[in-house]
Amino acid sequence: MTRQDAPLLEVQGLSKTFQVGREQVQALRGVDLTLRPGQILGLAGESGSGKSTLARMLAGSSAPSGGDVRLEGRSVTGERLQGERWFKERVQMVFQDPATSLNPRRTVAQTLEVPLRTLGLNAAARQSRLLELLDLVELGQEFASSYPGALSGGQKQRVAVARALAIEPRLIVLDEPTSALDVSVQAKVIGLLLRLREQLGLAYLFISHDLSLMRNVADETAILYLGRVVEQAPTRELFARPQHPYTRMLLSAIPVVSDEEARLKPAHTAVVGEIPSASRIPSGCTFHTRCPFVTEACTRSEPDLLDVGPAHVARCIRIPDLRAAGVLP
Amino acid sequence: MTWLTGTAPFPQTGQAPTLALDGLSIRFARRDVPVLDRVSLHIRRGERVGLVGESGCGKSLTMLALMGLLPSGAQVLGGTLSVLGQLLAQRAWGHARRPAPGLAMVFQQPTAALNPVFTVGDQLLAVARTQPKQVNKAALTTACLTVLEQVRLSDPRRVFSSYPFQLSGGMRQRVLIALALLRKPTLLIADEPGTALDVTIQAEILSLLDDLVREEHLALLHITHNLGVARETTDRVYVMYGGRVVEHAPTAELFRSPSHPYTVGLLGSIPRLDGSGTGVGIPGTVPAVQGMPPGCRFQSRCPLAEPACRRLEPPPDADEAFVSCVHPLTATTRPGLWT
Repeated sequence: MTRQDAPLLEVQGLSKTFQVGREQVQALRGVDLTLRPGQILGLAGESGSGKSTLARMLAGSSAPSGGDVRLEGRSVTGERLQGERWFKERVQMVFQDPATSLNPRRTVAQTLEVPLRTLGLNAAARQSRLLELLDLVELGQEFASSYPGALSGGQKQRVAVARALAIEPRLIVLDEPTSALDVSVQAKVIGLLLRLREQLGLAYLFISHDLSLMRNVADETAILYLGRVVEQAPTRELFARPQHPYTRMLLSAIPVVSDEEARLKPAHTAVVGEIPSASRIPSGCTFHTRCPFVTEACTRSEPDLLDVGPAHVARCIRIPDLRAAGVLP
Repeated sequence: MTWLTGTAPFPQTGQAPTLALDGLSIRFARRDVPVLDRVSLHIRRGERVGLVGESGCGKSLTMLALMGLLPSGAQVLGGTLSVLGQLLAQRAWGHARRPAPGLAMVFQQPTAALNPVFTVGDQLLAVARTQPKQVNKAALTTACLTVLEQVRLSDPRRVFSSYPFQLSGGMRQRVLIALALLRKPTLLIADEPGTALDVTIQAEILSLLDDLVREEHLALLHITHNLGVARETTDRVYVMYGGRVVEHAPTAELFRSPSHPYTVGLLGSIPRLDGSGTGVGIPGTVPAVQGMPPGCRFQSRCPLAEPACRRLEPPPDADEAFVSCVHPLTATTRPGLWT
């Protein structure tokens, strides 16, 4: 295995349980993920699936209840380590809403100064790095003295990206980075993120509920349901041959803007109910309460991830039958 | 000049529009340029009409005018509103603090629009009591349970006695639709219904609205920023930009052959499920209202802008399909515009 192929991030059996009053909320239940340098791994799922809990844990703002997160082979689940420069130089975070993640009383320059100071750069070096960062995110130098209030949503998100880039991380966790933006602005910010990935060899953990966006951004996509990966594959494969009934339900519900895309959606799957609370996780396959193909066996034990195609895994015992019956491609 | 792109987009049948908003212009005090410039919308019973555009296009301000909820600084410079052929006095809409007669609204945020300290039943009864036919409490309760059934809530009695926090997001959105139905509207205004919900639940809410339009023979004004939603759930669409309607067409036609450079740019910015890319977006931003150019308001961002664009006036007729552009795009000019 060459250096390039060594995983940047390995998540193994990651679990998180919150105690809320008398209830145990199982936000994550044994998630395994691997991310290589330069790769974009997409995480999709409905609210309550555990996407954001996972993001917070990777960014070091929440400690797991079980399992391990390894960064370049080194375990980083201890909270003390995550405050360290070694960790910050590898993982940075961009949040959904730039309006609340930027300090309204700091100019763009002051916001970008914060991470640059931790690098111990002198004033002249900080200034030149500041201009370099603005240039990287395609903002003019005149923005250095602007306050967030004077910026548009897209410009604010560019500043948030610049702040994440300041100490040259290897991985950026992007938690719904464009869902607060209009589509004509989203297209530009996504274009920027994809160019930066090429230019700087960054890896992204890209969290989004927008599957059409995911299709165009992620190299590989994992679908999360009630704290567990239910299907994962290279993005093109996942969208061409979705296998898990939950993935198919999600895809069939996406509103699209052309007849060509409508033909790509799986046959309409009636949506049954809503995602159950993470404090009352159904027994057996956790999707069985909403699944159109549920059998008695599905309620007994939770299936493992099964190989269903090239680098393609899904957590459903019905897949072989459904394929034989021609229900699945 | 405004190009009419076809005949009337919907069978007219001589029927007066259920809602006819004509030439609505609004400005905020001390600013010369109107933020809404001669906006016209016509909607008939049984029709699902989309009002689409991005933040700041004026779709919400238009909705607020219909609902009588304009902010106090907003001055109505002109415009008329008729409901069921009846011209309304301006005090009945705009700043009236109540919806124009016959209109009811489904708000976007089910959590914010319901009062957390009262049961669903209390909130429904409060609306039921304001309705013209005053009857005893038993009859009011029956009316409330009926609308809960109409929105396909499987256990109306349980929902009736529940507090909002005991319901899921999808159920709360259904309760909001039930509240609107209690007013026995002829026109339902839905402001981004389902936008706050997951895509699977959104699909259910949208199909419920569809059924209600058919069963109750309602007119539906669907305000959305999501063009995919507009394509799948409306019969025709008004596209707004910078406070003007820039294009109006039957939905299928708009998505097959968009003609306004803005509409084309917007459609080109949407990530496609076939993986063909996330598009390039539209350069620049919507100008602040003080900086709006005369004529076409998209000219500062349009690759085809020329002096004639400064004289472009909004279209006069909300029934015809039109594109408000000096250079409407065609099948040959469309693909190369935004690259």
